[in-house]
Amino acid sequence: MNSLGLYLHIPYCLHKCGYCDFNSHPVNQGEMDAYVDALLREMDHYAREWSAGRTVASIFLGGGTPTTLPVSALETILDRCRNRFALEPDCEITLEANPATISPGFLSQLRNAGYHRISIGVQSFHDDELKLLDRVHSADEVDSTVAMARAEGFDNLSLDLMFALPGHTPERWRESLRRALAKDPEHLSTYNLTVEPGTVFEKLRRGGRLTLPPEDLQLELYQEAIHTLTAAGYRHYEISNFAKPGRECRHNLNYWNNGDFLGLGAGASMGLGGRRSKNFNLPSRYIREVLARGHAVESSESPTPREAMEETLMLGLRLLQGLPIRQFEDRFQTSFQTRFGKTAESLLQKGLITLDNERLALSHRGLFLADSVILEFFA
Amino acid sequence: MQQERIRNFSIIAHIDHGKSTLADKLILATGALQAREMKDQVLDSMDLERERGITIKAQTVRLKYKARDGQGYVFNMIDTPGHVDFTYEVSRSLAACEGVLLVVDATQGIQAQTIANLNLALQHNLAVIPVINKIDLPSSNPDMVREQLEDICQVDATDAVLTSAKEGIGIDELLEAVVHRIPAPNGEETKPLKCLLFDAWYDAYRGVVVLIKVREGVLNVGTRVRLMAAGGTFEVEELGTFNPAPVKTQSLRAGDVGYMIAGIKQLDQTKIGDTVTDAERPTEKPLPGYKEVKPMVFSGLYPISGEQYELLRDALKKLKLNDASFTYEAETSTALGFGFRCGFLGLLHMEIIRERLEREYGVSLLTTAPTVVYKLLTTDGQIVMLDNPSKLREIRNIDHMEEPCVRGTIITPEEYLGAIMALTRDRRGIQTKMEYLNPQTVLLQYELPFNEIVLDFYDRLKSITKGYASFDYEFLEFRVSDLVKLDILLNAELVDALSLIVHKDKAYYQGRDLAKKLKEQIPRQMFEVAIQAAIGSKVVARETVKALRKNVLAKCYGGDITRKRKLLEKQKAGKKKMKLIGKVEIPQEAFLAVLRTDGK
Repeated sequence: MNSLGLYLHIPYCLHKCGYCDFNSHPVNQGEMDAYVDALLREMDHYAREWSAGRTVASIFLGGGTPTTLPVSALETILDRCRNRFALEPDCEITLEANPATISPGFLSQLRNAGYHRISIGVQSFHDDELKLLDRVHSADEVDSTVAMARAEGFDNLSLDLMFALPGHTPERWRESLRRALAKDPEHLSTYNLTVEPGTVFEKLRRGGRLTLPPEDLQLELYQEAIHTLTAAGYRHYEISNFAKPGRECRHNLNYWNNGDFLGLGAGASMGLGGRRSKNFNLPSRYIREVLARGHAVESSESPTPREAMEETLMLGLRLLQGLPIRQFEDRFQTSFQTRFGKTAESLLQKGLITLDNERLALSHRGLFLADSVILEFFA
Repeated sequence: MQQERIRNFSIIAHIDHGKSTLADKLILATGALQAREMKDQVLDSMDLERERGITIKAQTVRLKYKARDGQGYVFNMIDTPGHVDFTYEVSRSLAACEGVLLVVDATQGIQAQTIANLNLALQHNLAVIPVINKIDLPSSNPDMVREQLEDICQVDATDAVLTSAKEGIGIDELLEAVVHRIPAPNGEETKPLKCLLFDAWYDAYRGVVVLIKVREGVLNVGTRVRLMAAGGTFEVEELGTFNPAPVKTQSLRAGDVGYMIAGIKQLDQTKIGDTVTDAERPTEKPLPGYKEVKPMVFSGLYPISGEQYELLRDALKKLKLNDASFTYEAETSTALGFGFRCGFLGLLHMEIIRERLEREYGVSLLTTAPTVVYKLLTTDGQIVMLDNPSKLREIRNIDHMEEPCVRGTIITPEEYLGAIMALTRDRRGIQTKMEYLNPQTVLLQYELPFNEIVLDFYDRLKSITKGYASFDYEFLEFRVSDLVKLDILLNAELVDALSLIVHKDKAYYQGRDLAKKLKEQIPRQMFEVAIQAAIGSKVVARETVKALRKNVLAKCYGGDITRKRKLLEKQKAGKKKMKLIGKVEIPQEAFLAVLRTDGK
């Protein structure tokens, strides 16, 4: 329980994509300096309470688009992290980036600053699909961005891809997967497109102008990803994530293990010492709150032991290796068998989970019905 | 008070014609309550009644009125329930009166219940004061109503009182009309005691409270009384009147209306319509008109979660204390487990009980489709009353079956005649009367099988006539009918709680329709669900709910955890309301889908 994940949210984006429901806001040059200041100040605030006796195992700058900030600011932020927290020697430091937003010089400075893992929002290798997704980059620009990063010495790259796009076919999806594999990335995330409330896509769908592929096809595309990527030597370690051995994302593994994490920035969430809280979304409000109070918590709650158990199951079952039962019992001082034995037994009979003395995990079939399975464990 | 200064009357009206508001205004006008003490519509005492805007339990109030002639009068205003389910209770309340105020909405004119209620009043030879209400509304047409009253109801409407209960118009005139046009009661005080018991309820502190009208003789505190039909003997502990707060008195005399508390512990020791007499000096003959009230509609009530079985049983027991007209007995369904078969006076009565169980006792209920009682005649001459379709197969040697039929009265604007005829034909109705009340309004009478109206007839009627038609019915008789049992199977497993008894000619269509409706209601599960409708061993319809193959959230990172947990909690709460039958999860709505087989 001593290590900590550190998430920093950079909410600015050049453009909001139609499917995006993240907390992102248009680039605002007049506000961005103040935002970085607030972020540093908020870090100071939490470091006072949470840095003692804890090490930081991972840092993740997400967004928005973190590379909308000047590279000097990204340097300053990372320096401050080092200053305020005890980073583990092999601390994983990731930055999200979008193709075509970065130059070789920028990448070189990032590398020097200490960022060594880049997660690239590729989404697709087809220009028409990228256009449909509202992305500002082209497939060729993905090629050049990855090539640049490799040239600057980044040896830990992750590519995000999306499937089940309107009109998606297995052939087109295989093509995107093939081109992604050609980059020999260390890590891949493949996300089933979902239409979230409040997005442009939702409006389009309601108006009948956006149709997602039928469920059977979505499933086929998902299975295609699993098949292709595992055949290429990647380990399918979480519902949507694949990695070369040893390259699993440490930062995200901490979420799925329901570990403690500090989230800084507008709209960021944190789970620390049994308490969950969330910051104000709007950058200007966030800045104001931090200036006034040192932090910008909008709401917080302390899950009950039962809720915490459910969260742990909900997250842990996403990992294909499953949930370590002994660890779960130690953490909640309870017997798994007594609490969940009956549920597990019935799921086992239906072939939806696997269960041994060590771990509770989704079966191959259960993987596709993960939410239904997880629901069974809820009270 | 001398008898000649007493006036006992009821207000009768079609629903929403303004009965309760008028009652409130009479209470206010006589000063029994101050305006600030009045909750809207005092007489509707239960929350549910106020919410639904109808009167469920009859109440009565005693009002003091100083007339223009300078004399003081006592009015006993006896409220009546406003729904066909409670017709018998209405008739008993009317039997306690000498007159009625027949309220008709000046914008709507006479409706089905107006006629039904008026007929009841005339059967009791009551004086009728026509009251044309809502005259403040721009669309009111008192002349039209007057004409209808005379033509259709044969009521002299020349002296009809025009009112707007809402605006307080005509109230004084109405009070005078009560004095002059409703006769005083005229029972002899010297005769042996003879009282009509016309309402009773259970009070947690006092036991059973009964409302009585003394017809003959004098009732005193301390008298030993006998309830002639129910057979119990009790000593009168307290007598009084509701003014509307209870006021004690030493005696009630012929002509008086009041309450009696006599150490009666259980509501079923009192029967509405019973005659109360002096145990030592009994009357020779009980009052006429007493009937044992029998439930007409039955339905299975099951706790959604088995753990609530005890809670449900206790709740039914307590409700029964307050409502002797509904019945319950334990039953077991293979599909639903342990529950109760309950009998109700009608559909509204069923809904009321159901809502009270859920609201006041916190039981989550699953209600099976209501069914009427069928009469089965066996080859060896036995008669079996069947209140649960799933029990049909236990009965051997059935010679034939009979179903209850009703006489239904519909009053409608004539433009909907075609639609109503189509509906009633579909419901196996036989038209027995058609009469133009005026060029635009038609009265129709039908003989209809009760099972054709028990589910959704009224809703359908309202919907095809845009709400304009009114409907009322009364029980007619049992008639021989060609009936079959329609079964539903889920993954080849019979769901007894979904079985229905239907007419043979309609079984095929209803089976298909029901299977389709169930398909819409049953959510996709982790395996395929086959829905079959069968008559005997013959499957007449099949639908499939395809298995859920994919249900997985693509992303769940730090910021999603709380939101995702809450979403799952919500889904879980929805799932808990479902009933597990075999392995299939069925939402409550699926059981109600049976209600909406509109059998075109």
